[in-house]
Amino acid sequence: MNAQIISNAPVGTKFGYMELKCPEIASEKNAGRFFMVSVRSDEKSIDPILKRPFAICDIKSPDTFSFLYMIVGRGTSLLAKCRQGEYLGVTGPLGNYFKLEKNASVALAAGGIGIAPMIMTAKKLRGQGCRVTLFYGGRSASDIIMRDTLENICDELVPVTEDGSLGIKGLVTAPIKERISEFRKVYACGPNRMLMAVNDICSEAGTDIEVSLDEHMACGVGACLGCLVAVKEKTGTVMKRCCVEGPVFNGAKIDWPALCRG
Amino acid sequence: MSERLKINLCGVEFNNPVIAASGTFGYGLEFSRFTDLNKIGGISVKGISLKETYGNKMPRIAETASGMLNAIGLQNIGAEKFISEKLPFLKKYDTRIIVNFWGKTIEEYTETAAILDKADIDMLEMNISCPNVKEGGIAFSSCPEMTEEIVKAVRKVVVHKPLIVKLSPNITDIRLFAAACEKCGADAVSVINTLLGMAIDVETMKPKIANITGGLSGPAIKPVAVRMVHEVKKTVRIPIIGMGGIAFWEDAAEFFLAGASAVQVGTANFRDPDSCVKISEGLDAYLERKTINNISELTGKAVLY
Repeated sequence: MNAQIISNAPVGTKFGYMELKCPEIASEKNAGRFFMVSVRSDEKSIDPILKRPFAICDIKSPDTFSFLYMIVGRGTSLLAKCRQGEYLGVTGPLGNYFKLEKNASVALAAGGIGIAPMIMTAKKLRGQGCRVTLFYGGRSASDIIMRDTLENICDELVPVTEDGSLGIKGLVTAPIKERISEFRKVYACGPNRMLMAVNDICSEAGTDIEVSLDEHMACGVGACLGCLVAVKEKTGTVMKRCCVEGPVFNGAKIDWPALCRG
Repeated sequence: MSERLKINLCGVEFNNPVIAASGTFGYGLEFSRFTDLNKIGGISVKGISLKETYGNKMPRIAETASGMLNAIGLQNIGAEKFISEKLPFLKKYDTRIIVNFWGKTIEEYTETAAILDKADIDMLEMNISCPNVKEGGIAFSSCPEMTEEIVKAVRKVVVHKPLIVKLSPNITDIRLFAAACEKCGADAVSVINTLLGMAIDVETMKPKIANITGGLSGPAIKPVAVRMVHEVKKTVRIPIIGMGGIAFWEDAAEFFLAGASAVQVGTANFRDPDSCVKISEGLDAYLERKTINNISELTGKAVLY
C-alpha cells in the first residue's frame, strides 16, 4: 500500500511532522495505534530494508493522517528528506490502542517523541468528556514541540525540562507524583525508564496506567517475533508481541527490569 | 493466475512458484490483512518443533546494510497446536502449505515429521540449518555424514508428503550437503538459510542482538545464494527451491536462471507485505516478454561463458 506525502516539515531541529494521504489508515477511530512506513520513496530501494513504526499522531481528514518523528538515525534522516507529492510504502493501522476513560480527570505523560500518540489520544479523551492534563518532559525547551496545538487540545499542559529552560525544572515524574491523586488513569509514552518511573508512581497510588511502548520491529504484523515484551500474567511471565498485543500495555503487568535492561 | 507460472514441484501443483519463506511469514494469518494469500504460490510456515518453544532473549533483530540480522530462536507453538489452531485458517486459502520443522535430536525430528506427515499439508521442509539455536539442528549441517543420518531417519517416517531439506550456507562446500540429501531420499532442497553474522553498536559497545550472532538475510546475501543455487544445480537432479535476498521479480528470475525450480521470499515480506504477489506478477510479464511458455523452462537456463 502506498501513501502520498501531503506535507513533510521540520519541527524544530530534531523532529519532523508528515501528513500522508491514506484513507485506510485515516479511517482509524481509536487512539494509540501505529503504522509502518518506508523511509524512501524509491520503490526499488533496499537500503534501509525495513519500514519504521510510528504512532498515528492525528487524523486530519477522512483521507489523511499525520505522524511525528524524531531524527535519530539514518532512517529518520532519509524520512526528513522525503518531498511533498512522493509516495511512501505504508502498512497499517497496526497494533492495539488506549482504552479511553469517559467523563474523568486523566493524565497524559509524554517524554520526548513519546508525545506522538498523545495528540489523537487527548482529542478523543476530551471528546468523551474527560479533563486532560498533559505532562510533557524533555531535556530542554527545544524538545517540547507543537505547544500551540497541545494547548488547544488539552485542559492543561505541564511542560517539564531537565535544564529548566521551559516550565518546571527536572524530570516529568516529579509533578506527576505530586498530583497523581487528581487522576483516574494515566496514559504514558516515552523512554522505557521514564515509563517505569511513572508506572511506579501509579502503582503506589493505585492508579490505572496504560503505556505505549516503542520496540524495534521488522514486520509490524506479528510474524517476525522480533519485538517481544515480557508481560507478567497469572501463569508467569509471557512474551507478547509489541506490534500485535501492544504497543499499548497495562503498565502494572510489564516486567520493567527486563524491559529496561535491553 | 497465469498458466505460465504454474509448476509441479515434487508432485504438488502450485499456482505460481513464489513461496513465502519460513520465519518471515508467521503462520500466514498475520499477513492476511495486507496481501492476498490466494495469490501466493505457497507458504512455508514458521519452523515447528515437537513442543512449544519460547525463543531467544531480546533484542532479536538488527537492521544491516541492505539486510537484517535475526536470532529469534525458532519460537513456535509446537506441532499439535499448529495443526489444531493455525492450519484450519490456512486451509481456507488457495495456496500450498509447506511446514518447516526442526528438532534438537534425531528423535525429535522424526517424531515431529511423523505428526506433520499425517496432517493436511502439502510438503515438509526440514530445517537443519538454523544458525541461532545450538540444538536447532545446525549440528546436522556440520558435515555431510550428519546430514545423511538425519535425512535417512526422517525420510523413513515421511511417507505421504514430499520432503524438502533446507541447507545451510555456513559450510565450505554446499554441493556435498545437497548430494547427501539426494542420496538419502530428499525430494528437494531449499538453498539457502541465513548466513551467520554479527553487528555491534559502537555507542553502547554491545552486540546489536542478545544472542551475539544472528542470521543475515535480505538483498545483502543474494549473490551468495545465487552462486550456491548454481553450484547445487550442477550437483543434484532433485529440484531446488532458491532463496536469499529476493525482493523483486528480477531477483527471483536470477534464481530460476541459476537453477531453481521455485523460489522463496523472506525478508522482503517485512519491507512490503505484497512482495510475493508483485514478484509473481513481474515474473509473468517477464515470461510473456521473453515468449517463454512456462517458468519451469527458465530453470538453469543461465547462458554461461
